[in-house]
Amino acid sequence: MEEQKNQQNQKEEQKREVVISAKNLSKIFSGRTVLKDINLDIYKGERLIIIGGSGCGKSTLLRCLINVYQPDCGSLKFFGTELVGLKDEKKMDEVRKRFGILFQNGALYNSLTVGENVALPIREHSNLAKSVIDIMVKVKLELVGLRDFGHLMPSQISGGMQKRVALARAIALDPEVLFYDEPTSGLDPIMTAVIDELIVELNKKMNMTSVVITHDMASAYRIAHRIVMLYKGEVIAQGTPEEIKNSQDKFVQQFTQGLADGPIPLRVSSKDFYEDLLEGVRPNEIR
Amino acid sequence: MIRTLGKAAIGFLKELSNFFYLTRDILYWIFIAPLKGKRIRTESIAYQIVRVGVRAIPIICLVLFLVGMILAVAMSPLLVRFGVPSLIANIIAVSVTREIGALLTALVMSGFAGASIAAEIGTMNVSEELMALETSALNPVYFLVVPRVLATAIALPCLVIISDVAGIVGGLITSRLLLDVSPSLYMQLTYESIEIRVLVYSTIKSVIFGMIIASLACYHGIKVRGGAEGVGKETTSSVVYSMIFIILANLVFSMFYNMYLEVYK
Repeated sequence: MEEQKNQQNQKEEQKREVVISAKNLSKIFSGRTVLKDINLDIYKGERLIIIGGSGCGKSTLLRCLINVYQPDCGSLKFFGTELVGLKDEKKMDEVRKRFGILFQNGALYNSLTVGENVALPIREHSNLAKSVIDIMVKVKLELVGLRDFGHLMPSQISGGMQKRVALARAIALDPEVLFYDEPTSGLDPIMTAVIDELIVELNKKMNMTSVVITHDMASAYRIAHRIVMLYKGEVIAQGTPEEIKNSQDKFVQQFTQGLADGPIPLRVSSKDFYEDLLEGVRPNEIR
Repeated sequence: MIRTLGKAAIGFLKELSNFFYLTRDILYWIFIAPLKGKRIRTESIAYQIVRVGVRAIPIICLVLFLVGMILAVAMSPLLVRFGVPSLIANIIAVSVTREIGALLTALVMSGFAGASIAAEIGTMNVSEELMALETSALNPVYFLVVPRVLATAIALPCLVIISDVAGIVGGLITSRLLLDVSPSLYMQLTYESIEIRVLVYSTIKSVIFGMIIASLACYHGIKVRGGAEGVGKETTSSVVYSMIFIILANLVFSMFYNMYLEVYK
């Protein structure tokens, strides 16, 4: 019965269009492996959540997926285009136009108004008249509930509003894939719920594939179709929110339940503490 | 020791190659991209000219006015001793228009504009704005670097002309007070001393100085790592390197002038 279900799932997965496909993706910084053999397929229209503790490689994975970092080995395909080793800037720009990113701190251009921030990608990548761009900006800002704030500077609005403006900018070109880097970090619970709702709404209304990096489990359960957990640069679990919630894996349990004690260590030193303390001390000195 | 020297040499070569790639990109966006239909962002250049150029006028005027006065004060005892006090006009006109005006304006601008550009781009880098541009398929060199380089290269020659005038006026006031040289005589001698080829030389020199200041500032801004501390460090480096390269470039220009443009009478 179980086997049949698995086979059915596999068949269903085969039918769905793969938007991003990572195979054996690895990234090494100064001799330290940050990502190790990541294998991940992301399907059209799905809301994929990548969870994991601080320093587990979530942000590095995101940066590899958006081609800010070049992976050291493996393959990364975006709508069938291989991004690893892609040197052609024109081709890369064509790929970039198909995705949008909501950065952790919004990354709004501080010298431009809220409206100009949203208008910039549209203006630069189309030949539309200014009046049409103004209408599009209003539509995008209305989607995030900030239509009346177009004339303000980013410094004049709150952190939550900045994130919503950044979201409006990220969807300015109607991308097919939207990446979110910790979209709810530093926000109050109400604003967190608002952003979560926006992510779900955008995904439903525009059939946008969403890849969300977070360590906020409440948000993850609210948004996700599928959750992937990273630990020390490796995928250690993946499944539906229910499967992750009921996982018997000790690492997953500790993370999802927010437990202080468990297999994920607090200390990240490679050496033994006492060995480290006594390094270089001669025995006759400790008497 | 050898390892440290080797590391330093490799680091220096890496920096040099990175700066070379940035310069190549800047030149591409200025000279080649417009031929392929990519327009130069004139509104952004105009905004930057106001920011780095117009706002620097008071400080440039003050500095060169005082330098003109200092030159006159320093030279006056010698000129009185030789009985040629009016020669002060020629000395100030030649020194300011040929070397001091462009050099000092560029040095002041490396602190005024260079530091501001490096800190601005560095902060944008730290707050992921550069990455946001890049991932939106908007080239940061085209959007941020080229307007700043062109604006500084356009603003600097204009500032040099203003600074030349300020230096000459500073000399005029001092020579009137200390040497009793009449303003009309001073202006006549100044007019006779200034040559068109010197002004052209000074203008070309200041365009290059402007490009050095802005491209180094942008390079250091893009290089920023590690938050506020990184911004501070790179801003300082940008000013220091700008000053060194401006003085070196000035030396090369002076040698070139002596070899090809100087007419010994």
